[in-house]
Amino acid sequence: MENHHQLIVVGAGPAGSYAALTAARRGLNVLLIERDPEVGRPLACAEAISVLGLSSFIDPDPSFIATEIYSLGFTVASGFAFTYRHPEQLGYVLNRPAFDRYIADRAVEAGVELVTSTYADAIELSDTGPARIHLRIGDRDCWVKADYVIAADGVESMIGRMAGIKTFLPLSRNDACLQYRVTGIEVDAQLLEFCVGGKYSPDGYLWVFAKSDHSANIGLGLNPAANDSGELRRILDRFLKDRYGDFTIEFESCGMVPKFVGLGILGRHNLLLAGDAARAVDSLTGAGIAKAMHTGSLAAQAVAAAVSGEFDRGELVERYRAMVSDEIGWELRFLQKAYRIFRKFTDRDWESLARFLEKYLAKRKAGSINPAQIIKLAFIRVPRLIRLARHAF
Amino acid sequence: MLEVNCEKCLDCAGCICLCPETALTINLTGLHIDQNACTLCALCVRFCPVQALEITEKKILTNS
Repeated sequence: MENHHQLIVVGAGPAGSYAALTAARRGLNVLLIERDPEVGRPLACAEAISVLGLSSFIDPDPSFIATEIYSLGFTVASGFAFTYRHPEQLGYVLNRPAFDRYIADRAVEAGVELVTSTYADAIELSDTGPARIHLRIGDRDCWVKADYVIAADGVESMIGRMAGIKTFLPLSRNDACLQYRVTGIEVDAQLLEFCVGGKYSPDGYLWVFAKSDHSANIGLGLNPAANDSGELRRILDRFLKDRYGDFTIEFESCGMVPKFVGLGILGRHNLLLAGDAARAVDSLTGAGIAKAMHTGSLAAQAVAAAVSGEFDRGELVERYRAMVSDEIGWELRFLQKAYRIFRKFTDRDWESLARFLEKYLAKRKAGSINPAQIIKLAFIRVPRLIRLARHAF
Repeated sequence: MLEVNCEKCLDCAGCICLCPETALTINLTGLHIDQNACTLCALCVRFCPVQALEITEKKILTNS
């Protein structure tokens, strides 16, 4: 390992590996560091991504795809349930360890130097000079220099914090999630299922994402400011017992789904944050894989533009912020507001919305789903949405 | 005092984002608590999805 790089990327998840890949393709000398002994350690993720979300960045490859999704299922508090089957494919459930390795492999092919079992435990930024990062590699440690740094070190964002960026979240701006990988059950391998309200997901949401026709990621998210997080396990266990009776829990994972907190924490000096570290997530569903790759890609493009002299280094963070704002700012803000509306939904509101959606979707033909029209009609059919929206927007 | 039960902790690091005092850090060996920085605000305890964090006794403040 050399001791001076044009770009150091911290964290080899989808955001970091994609940032490294993008930068290497633009000719930068990139070092990608990963804390774990290998890329793709099993992690806390429900693993779903839309067709567009994936194919905008990586061509689908059978090595990392668990199931192809065509149907969406909703169960609401009162027990009202419906399944909508779309004529075209809607998304995928990935095999995240294989997916993460796939992107990191593409980055290495493009010329990125990847080092694993390497932990960045200190960073020093300067107004004009390169950043210095202190690395621990097993028993050894060293300082390395980088002209630019992209921190994609996950939800805890230690690099951002050490660099003085206020990345901490209030308790109300996240969901605490617990998920089981359940096997030995029968599931529809083309279905993503959501349950909201009622006894299985009061004030939260429960998901069943098929990994095959006999296994699934089954998890529950609750806001920890308003709920006892101990309920997560009690509710999940009850749901599994009621629905499946006999099943095996292969492993469990937990995590935080951060909520979007605005574009104020995207970087400082020559450091940019991407992915969960930048809180670039869909606040409504918690989906973050596509947004991670998107922000990783934009961060790398901003760095490449700065290296090629398109703008002064001092403008880097502002340029990156403008790129993120242009491409996904509206969406991130909209989803955050939608989340705030849904947090106030009662079981009756959920049922009104679900009944409207069922009727609406039953009438649609292939390719004619218009999200703007759904939202407009939902406001007409579920009048309480208007009142709740006044407070959120 | 805030304590972490390493057998329960799944290293998700969610608690770290919530700590207003940066008393929690994670490294290769797991989650670490800086007892001097911790104010026992218990935000992390309320968050933890697997109940790995616990406040075991009152912190004794000495004013010597």
